[in-house]
Amino acid sequence: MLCEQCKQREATTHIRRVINGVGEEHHLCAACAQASGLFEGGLSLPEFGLHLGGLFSGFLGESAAALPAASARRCPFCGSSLHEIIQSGNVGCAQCYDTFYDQLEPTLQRVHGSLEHSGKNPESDPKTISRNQKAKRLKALKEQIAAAVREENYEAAAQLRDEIKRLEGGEEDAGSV
Amino acid sequence: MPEAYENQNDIVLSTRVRLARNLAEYPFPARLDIKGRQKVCEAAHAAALAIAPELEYIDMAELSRAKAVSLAERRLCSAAFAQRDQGGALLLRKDCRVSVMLCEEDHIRLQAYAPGLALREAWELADSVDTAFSRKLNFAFSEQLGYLTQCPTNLGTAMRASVLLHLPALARLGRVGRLAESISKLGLTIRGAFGEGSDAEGALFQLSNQVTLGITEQAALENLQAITLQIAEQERLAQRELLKDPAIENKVWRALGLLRYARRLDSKEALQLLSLAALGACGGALELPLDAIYQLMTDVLPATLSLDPAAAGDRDAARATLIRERLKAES
Ligand SMILES: [Zn+2]
Ligand SMILES: [Zn+2]
Repeated sequence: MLCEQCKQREATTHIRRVINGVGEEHHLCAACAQASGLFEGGLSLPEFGLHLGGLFSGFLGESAAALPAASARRCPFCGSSLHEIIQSGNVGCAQCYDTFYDQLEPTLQRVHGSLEHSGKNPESDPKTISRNQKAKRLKALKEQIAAAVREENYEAAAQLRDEIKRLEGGEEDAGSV
Repeated sequence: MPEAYENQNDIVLSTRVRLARNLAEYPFPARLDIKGRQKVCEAAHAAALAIAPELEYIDMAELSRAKAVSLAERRLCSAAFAQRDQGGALLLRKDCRVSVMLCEEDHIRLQAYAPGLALREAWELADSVDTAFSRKLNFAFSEQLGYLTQCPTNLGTAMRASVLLHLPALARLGRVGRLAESISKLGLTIRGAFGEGSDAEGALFQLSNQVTLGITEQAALENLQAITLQIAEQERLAQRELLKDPAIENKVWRALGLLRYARRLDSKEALQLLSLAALGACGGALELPLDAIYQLMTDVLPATLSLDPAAAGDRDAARATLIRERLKAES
């Protein structure tokens, strides 16, 4: 099979973007695949942007009417606008997925054919309490201790102190690789 | 399959499982300046010191170009990452079974390797290092979308598992294209292992899973395992078929002659000859140590070769010498 891009060299790279539902297939030679930036290996970020720009452009066509309203919005964490995400092909940060979920959803659906993660979940690991969660929990416990001491409930305060110790000590027991 | 070929290692050179992870506290790498990237590298480095002190921290800015490119040739980092200077670092285990790219396309790209077809082994290694990291670092994760990545194509498990295949007979018979078409329907992708060439030099191909959201790591690995076994079997049949052709048999022997006696070889010719010799060895026409040939297919690459002080002068001559020494006739 010949490369769909240059129509000269043998296509050695074959990609299909969706498994469930309608698929989009590409058959490219190594050189054109490299240039298109469709792959993780050996491509620079700007090239990658081109590819994702293409990825998102379909969605732009689908919901162009929704864009003006969304385009003024910026991610509260990283400051990305939807326009910048589409232009660069890079999602700005984890919170962008929340901020622009409605706009990104059709593309995600098209790319993966599913919108429900199944697989490893770091939060189901009992030893993994995320830094944020842990900090929040510690803060709450310390407030409870203060309240318990104010109420002269020393037994409760001692229990709370033990829990804080456990939580802070839990940090050091991760095994070596 | 001869019993000597455990783990399908007559066809499968190596297995890699890569996991993409990001720190929730920072924007993704493309949105960070050099200082921001350095902070991410430092955070990951600090975590690594606590959980896996055996990982060596390599600041990409301090590496010579040849050393950086050699890492990519040995598939320990991506080619794009090898070009990176400021704000990128690599954590590398001495035996090269674990490498972690920091601030490549994602904050963390953790890779575990195993020789031959060993998806379970590579996954378990990647999984254990990832779990250890996750107890020190706050990974960006959502119940619905899984691990959050800079590029939406990696959402979900953010796992890319791949096997490096040597398919000289299928490539020669022009069957890789058709094969690729059918496997693409199963959510997998195959491509030449050397992106830069116009054809798959050395007949090396990388087969990997493509879809990451909505499919568990286990299911993706099983899928990849099953397809790899089928491709390996097809390649063996094709090799037997091909070696019946006296013209091919002749090519295989001529390749061995050149490998053993040539005084200068460029890397492209060396790869082609090594691939032919490996075909002869797999099909039983040549008695050659296959693992040595496959090792050479990495060691003769330009940057890796240039790290050898002996290659300081004439690189093509050094390449031919290296091959001659490794493939010395027993007699
Ligand atoms: Zn082409
Ligand atoms: Zn953002």
